[in-house]
Amino acid sequence: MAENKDVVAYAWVGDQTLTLATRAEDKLFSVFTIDINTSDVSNEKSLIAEDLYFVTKKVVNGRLLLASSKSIKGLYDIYEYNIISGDLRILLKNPGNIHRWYSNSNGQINMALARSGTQETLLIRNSATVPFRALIHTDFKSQVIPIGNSGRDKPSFYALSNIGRDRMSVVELSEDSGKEIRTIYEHDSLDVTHAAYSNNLGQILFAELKTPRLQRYFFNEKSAILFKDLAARIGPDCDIKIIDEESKSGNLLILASSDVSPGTYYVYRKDVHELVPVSQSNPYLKKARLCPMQSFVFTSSDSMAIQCFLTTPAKRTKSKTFPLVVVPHGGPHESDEWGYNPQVQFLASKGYAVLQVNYRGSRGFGKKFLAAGFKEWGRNIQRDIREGVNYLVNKGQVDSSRVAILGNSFGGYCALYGLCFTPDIYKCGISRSGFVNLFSFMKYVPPQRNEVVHRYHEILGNPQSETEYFRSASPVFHSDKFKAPLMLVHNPERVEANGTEMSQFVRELRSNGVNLTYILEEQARRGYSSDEEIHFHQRLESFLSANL
Amino acid sequence: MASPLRYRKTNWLNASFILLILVSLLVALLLAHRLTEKFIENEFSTQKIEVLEETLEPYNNFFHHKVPEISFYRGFLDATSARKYADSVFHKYEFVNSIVFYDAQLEVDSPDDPAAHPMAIPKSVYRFSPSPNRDSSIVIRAHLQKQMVTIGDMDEFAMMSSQLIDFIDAPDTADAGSADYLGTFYNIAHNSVTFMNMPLYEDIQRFKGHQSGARSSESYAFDIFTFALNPAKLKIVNQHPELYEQVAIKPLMYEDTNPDPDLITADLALSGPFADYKLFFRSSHSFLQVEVWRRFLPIAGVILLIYATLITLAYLIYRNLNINRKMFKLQYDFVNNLTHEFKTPVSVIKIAGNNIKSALKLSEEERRYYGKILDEEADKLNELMNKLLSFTQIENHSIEIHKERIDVQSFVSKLVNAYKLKYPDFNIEYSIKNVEFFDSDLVLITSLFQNLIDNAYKYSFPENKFIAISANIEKSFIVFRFKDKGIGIPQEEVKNVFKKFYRIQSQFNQQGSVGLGLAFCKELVNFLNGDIILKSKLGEGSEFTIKLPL
Repeated sequence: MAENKDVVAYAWVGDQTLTLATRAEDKLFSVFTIDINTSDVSNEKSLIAEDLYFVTKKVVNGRLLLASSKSIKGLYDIYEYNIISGDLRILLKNPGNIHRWYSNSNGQINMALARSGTQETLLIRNSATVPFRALIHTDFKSQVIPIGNSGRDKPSFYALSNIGRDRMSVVELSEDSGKEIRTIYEHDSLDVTHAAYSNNLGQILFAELKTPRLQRYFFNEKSAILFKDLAARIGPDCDIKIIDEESKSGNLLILASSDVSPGTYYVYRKDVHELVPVSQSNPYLKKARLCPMQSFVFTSSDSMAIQCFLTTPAKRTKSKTFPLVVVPHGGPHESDEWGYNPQVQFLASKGYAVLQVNYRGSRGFGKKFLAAGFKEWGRNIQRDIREGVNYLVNKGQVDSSRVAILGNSFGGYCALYGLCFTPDIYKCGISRSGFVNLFSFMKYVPPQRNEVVHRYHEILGNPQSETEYFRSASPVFHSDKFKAPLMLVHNPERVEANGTEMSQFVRELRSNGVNLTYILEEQARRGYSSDEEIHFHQRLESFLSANL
Repeated sequence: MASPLRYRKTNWLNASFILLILVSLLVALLLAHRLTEKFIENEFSTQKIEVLEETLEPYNNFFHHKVPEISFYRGFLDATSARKYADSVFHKYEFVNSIVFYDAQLEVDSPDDPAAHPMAIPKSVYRFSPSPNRDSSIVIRAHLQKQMVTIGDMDEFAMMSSQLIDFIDAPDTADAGSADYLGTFYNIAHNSVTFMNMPLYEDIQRFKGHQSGARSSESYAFDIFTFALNPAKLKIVNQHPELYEQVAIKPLMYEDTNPDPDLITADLALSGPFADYKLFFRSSHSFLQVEVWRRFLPIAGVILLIYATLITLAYLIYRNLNINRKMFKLQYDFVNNLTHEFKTPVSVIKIAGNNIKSALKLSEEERRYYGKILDEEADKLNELMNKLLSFTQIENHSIEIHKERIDVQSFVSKLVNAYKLKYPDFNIEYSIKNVEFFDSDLVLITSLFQNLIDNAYKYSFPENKFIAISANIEKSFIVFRFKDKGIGIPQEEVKNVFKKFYRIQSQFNQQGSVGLGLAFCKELVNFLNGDIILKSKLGEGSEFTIKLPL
């Protein structure tokens, strides 16, 4: 088999045969079937695409569905790959607005999510031969994610939805009208992040919630018993996830991980109820030397409950307080979760307490909380981060004179913002691919997705009518306010980056006498390579030890 | 006849040396003054650039920092936000007279026609002027419809937008750092700077997508600013007021109409929008002379200091040579004296030896006579040699002190009795008070007493050979005084008599004197940690006082 190719997708198509998709070059993929014993490759087909994934892993009628986006990420076409003949043909061409395809238990695409402007539409078709029809319209703040068929007489399906409600909940929707038939499960403060559905049973097994730790609400007795049994065997300190299920025997591949364990894989043999550990990610990490992650909630000055994680170093210092590194997450519509985080553990092992704030605008806490972050990038979001720091300072857990802020992407913007506008809180900061100019940020919307601009006007603001806010919240206009040491990591390949703007910013900072560590990262077009990660963290360590 | 070792007179040499020094000093000062003048002239023409840089500093700051800020707004500026930007410009940069802001966009007339060219359309045009105290702007004119924009304003707009259209039409070959690329977005003209926000790659892609007939109907919005600048408002920063009496901004072709021969002028062209102007520098000769003297005086001081050091060194060398010459003369005299001193006994011995050798028979009387002569002369030689040896020893501190308890009474009386026997005409008195014993080296003390008593005898008139010796206790010292009524020593010689080989010319030492006696005494007393003092009056006598520790 050819080397230097990344396997991007795989599917078992027989007992001894796999179908693989590999990336041969930057934009060239190949799809083929391989015998795992002989490594014989057959039916190889090439495809030019930006990205590619398998829609299902199940072969139906000797066919496998895959999705690939031709030019710009996010718009996928559906292809059908015949594993016997090796035929690769386009099944569904993206009309230019479909952002997501959904398949049913028969391996057929029966639903799709279309986007236009701030509006999203869930499309449905009853069979592969009829065209899609619009079922549900939502604005981008609301969301509906199909889970599976309800199998009832009246055509309906299960979905995660927050239409007409604040939080993502498990509901049953009518296939005819798109109206909600009944609410199956709703949490009182959190979004349901995932619902497991059994194709065989035609039934939802459980709903998952993520904060502060992974929780499950069971609809299926057997599943409940299974997880109870697994938890009893592995221990309550770990989050247990089912990675895959063998279709014939029903044996399970299980991953158990926690804040102080990157995870152990087990095989659970259903017939004998046996749990066999098979592999461990990074066994060299000593559990005892990793630091536990604690969740806490504080109330912001405008009475919002803000959930945070604090990781404190295992070693106690003489002063009883730790220097603190705040690591705001990116997005901002993402969230920090409980679990093993290499960067947090790295910082904690160097003696720094680490604070992660799920500031307003973070995902997972309901629609209102998400929308509370809109147009607040340079205002309330930053205040939440500051108040998180103050909360710890007031509790006497951290040394208020030694606080640093570190972030990537939007988190990097937060770091720049903190150093620029609240220099009395932070002693130094690190921005990795952080935004320096919100005006420019508005321009990075991919050209084919102009309709998204309107969505950004709601999330970020309108640069035309809110020029003053954009100016006041963009660090590039305020280079004279920077005082504290800054480590700026710039990656020209990242979409948010603008070379001339960054070089002007760097020049201004230098001429203002800011202690600036400037690092240019070259590759990292698709995530960071491990070499770059190591290099970055080495520089990070020396920067923090010198400046914090 | 001329011998290289002949004594030479140096007066002429000295005089010519001093003359040469003075002449070279004058030349050095003159040269230094000329060089300083040249240097100042040179600086006058080279330091202009510093004044220029300093004067254009606010403009450069404006052009490199404030103007590119327009790009950061990414074409999103409107009348309100542009006015805020204008406020900040007026507030900081006095030389900006007014600002014209074009809120514009690129559009295509007929989006369906692939051959259609984009057109730049100014949505609105504003002119901002500073309020009298420059802290805010006044919008003087607004909107095209009112027809209040001058043709010149629209020329700028037309030029910039055609540059932009050319840029967008060109294939993606331009290197983002090249002058061709960057030059598209600004224009510098007479007293004005125009700047257009640089489009991002994404902007161009989006607009080109539109041109190539994609479904979106996007237009590209951009902002153009034209800044009218006033060179008269540039603050001239004369960093070298000592060089330039007057600096002014003048048109490039300006000439001084009434050239004053006393004036020195220079000029330096400004750059950028001010390229039609120059900095004009003017100073009068007398003004520059002040600076020449200010720079020259420390240099002259240094030159004088060097010469002063040189002359001091020459004098010191001259003085040392002189002293060495005197030393050489003293040693020469000493050898001379010593030879005489040795010659007499040696010739007596020689004669006696010859007589004994040539005599056929030696009577008893003759034998005794010659024996006595030989014995006496050998003693003299011995004494001479002892003196020399012990002096050298003392001087080199190569002998050891053998301290013993000396009974003063018996020591002095024995010595006095011996001298009374030796010189019957010598009148010696002595008195001892408050002291019985002291600890010292008997041999050295005896030698000291002998020298002083011998001297008193030697330098006294035959009819008045007298010495009074006294011993007393003063504090923790024993003090001996030797007072004679001899010839005395002149006051100016008192400090010299203790020097080696020094003798006062007198009839009393014609017989040969080494000039070592008193030098020896001083060395001896110093060696015993004591002190010797001489008081003397010419013709009346001398008194030597010796203080020794008990």
